[in-house]
Amino acid sequence: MAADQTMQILVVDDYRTMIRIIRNLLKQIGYEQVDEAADGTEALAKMRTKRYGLVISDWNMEPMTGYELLKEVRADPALAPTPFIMVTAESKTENVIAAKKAGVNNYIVKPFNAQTLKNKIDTVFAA
Amino acid sequence: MSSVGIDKLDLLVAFLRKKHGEHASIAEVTALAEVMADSLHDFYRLLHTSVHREMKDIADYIARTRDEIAALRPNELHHAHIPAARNELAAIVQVTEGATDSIMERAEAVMSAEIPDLAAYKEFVNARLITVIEACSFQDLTGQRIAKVAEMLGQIEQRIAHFAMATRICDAEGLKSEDEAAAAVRKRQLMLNGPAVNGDGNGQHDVDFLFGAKKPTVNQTEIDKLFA
Repeated sequence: MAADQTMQILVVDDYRTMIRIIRNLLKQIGYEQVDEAADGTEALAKMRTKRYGLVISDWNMEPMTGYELLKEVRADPALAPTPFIMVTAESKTENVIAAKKAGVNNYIVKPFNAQTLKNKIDTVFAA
Repeated sequence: MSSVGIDKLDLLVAFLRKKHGEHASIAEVTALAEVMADSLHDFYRLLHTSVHREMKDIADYIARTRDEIAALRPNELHHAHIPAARNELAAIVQVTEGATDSIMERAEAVMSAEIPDLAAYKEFVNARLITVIEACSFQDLTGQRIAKVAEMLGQIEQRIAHFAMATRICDAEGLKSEDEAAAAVRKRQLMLNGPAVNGDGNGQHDVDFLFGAKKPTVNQTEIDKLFA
């Protein structure tokens, strides 16, 4: 299944600049419908009121981290099917394995480029 | 107790053994009391000297430690060095954020520009690229600020190292504040490691491998290295 270019994507990051970078990269690869949240709590609240086709989240945020958000999403039957990509500077093996166990669909290590983002989105929707 | 005192007490014990079962006279009891008093006098004199020496050692240690704490200049660290370092770091965050915003704004303007006339488009792009180049000067400023912070940290490290060596103190266990302890637990449980240093983390290829991708094939740069 190819990714729907009109789907709503939720970008979660506590750095405004990073959200802006991801928004621009997504635009570059054809995704214009982008919403944003500054941490896991805000993202979860938005996800409970609006349907998103994909979540792209940072790991290290306060008060709710991306890892906690991922676990909350996977534990909620209504949200659990939402594809989830972690985009983070947390590159230790323990982080990658923990995220995978928690049900992340793919994992991008910062810094990254538009091509990597496109590849990972394509991989998630091809699976 | 001194050997003199012990000798006297030995004589006392021998006398009492000899007198076993008999009543002692007043003169003998007085003599015994004198021997005891002499022995205790020696004992207390030596005890006094020993306690005095111990107290002096403790006083010397306290005075030395106070000097070392003064040399550490904790008030200067607390009121000057650490706030200055914090301000420098905050300024770095502010400057880099400003520069990134400026660069990104120009890039977004160029990406979304719809100017049919080539000369006008070139002028538009050049004007924005010049601003991008100007914004890159943040690197020089942040470099200088980082150098100042590194110097301050070096001074703090030197003083603390000297203090630890002079006082021969060991790090205490379990003396973290509640906030510090809670933050450490949260950091450990949620694996908040932050960006890796010195190749401590995985690159994208390694992460992809953990997600089931095949190991990347050797690229041209690696082939060229083999022929260098």
